[in-house]
Amino acid sequence: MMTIPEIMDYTRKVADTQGKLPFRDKELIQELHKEVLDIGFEVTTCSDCYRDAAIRIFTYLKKHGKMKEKREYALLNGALIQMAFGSSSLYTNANLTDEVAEEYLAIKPEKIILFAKYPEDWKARCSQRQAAKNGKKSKTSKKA
Amino acid sequence: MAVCEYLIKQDISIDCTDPMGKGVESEGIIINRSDIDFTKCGVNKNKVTSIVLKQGKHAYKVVQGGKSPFNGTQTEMQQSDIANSFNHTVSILILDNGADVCENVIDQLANGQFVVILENKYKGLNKQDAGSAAYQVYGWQTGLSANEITNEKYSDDTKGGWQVNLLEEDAPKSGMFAYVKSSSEETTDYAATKAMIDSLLETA
Repeated sequence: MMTIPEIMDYTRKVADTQGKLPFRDKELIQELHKEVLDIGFEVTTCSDCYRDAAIRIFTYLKKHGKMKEKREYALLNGALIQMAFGSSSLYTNANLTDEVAEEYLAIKPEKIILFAKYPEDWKARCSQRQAAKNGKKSKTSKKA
Repeated sequence: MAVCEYLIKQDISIDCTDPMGKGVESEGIIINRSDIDFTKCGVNKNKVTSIVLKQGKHAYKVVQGGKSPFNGTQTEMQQSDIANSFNHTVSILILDNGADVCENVIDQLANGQFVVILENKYKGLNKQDAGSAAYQVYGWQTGLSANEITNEKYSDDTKGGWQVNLLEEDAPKSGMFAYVKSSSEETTDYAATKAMIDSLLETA
């Protein structure tokens, strides 16, 4: 298991490598892409794509200092959710968070069919989140 | 059973502020038709409003080089006694060869059914449905399948690579376009559609 500084060092080296990448490097970049960014990386014949992937990993770690949190919810490819009309929120797998998924499913539980991955107790979690949100709202309105 | 009426519903004119330009962008996507979960997709007339893939499935990029990517892509009307229809052709140049390309791409293209999405250079951003001219979907109605695959070793056009023509035959509509209406004032319809298209490519 590589540490974050080791991954950053390694991905920087891969990004700087000229010419063809060895097979082992390609394999490792695929693994790290999944590990760090929580998203797979398609096997390809293009060496530059692996360098691009190494840059994505390096940039993410440099910006956030940690690996992306593993999500419990994932959408099917192509599925796009919009929270409510007039809301600025539009989500695909690229920017979905567990919080957003639960808020959305609390309002539209029938849309669970658009999810590729979700925890078994998603209904209970969504109700809890909705209750917590309503609790916050009523506290705010009482104060007002 | 209703009788279909065919009546023109708008002027045929030119948008002088956003005139049409020819061609398509150099990156498109291809989807195995059987990977699409049609029960979760949405269609409204000539718009495909949502494309959802089956669990674990994703689309593949098609990247073309040169000044005329996907050169040869066209639509042609087919006459028939019952109802005229359209043949849509998508031309793909594959500048690669080898055991992997033949096994993973060419042999599959030769026998499979596909949907291809190309991004027109003309997006129609001034239209009422802004961006509804951008992403053209081929193969949605009757499926694209190969009607010509050639590999000429000394061809200047293909540099020894593969030329593939995919044909969607007898499609009832002249064109289908991916289009997502954004509910947000901050996100344009074009951006929402692009987000949907990009998400088709994600691998698990």
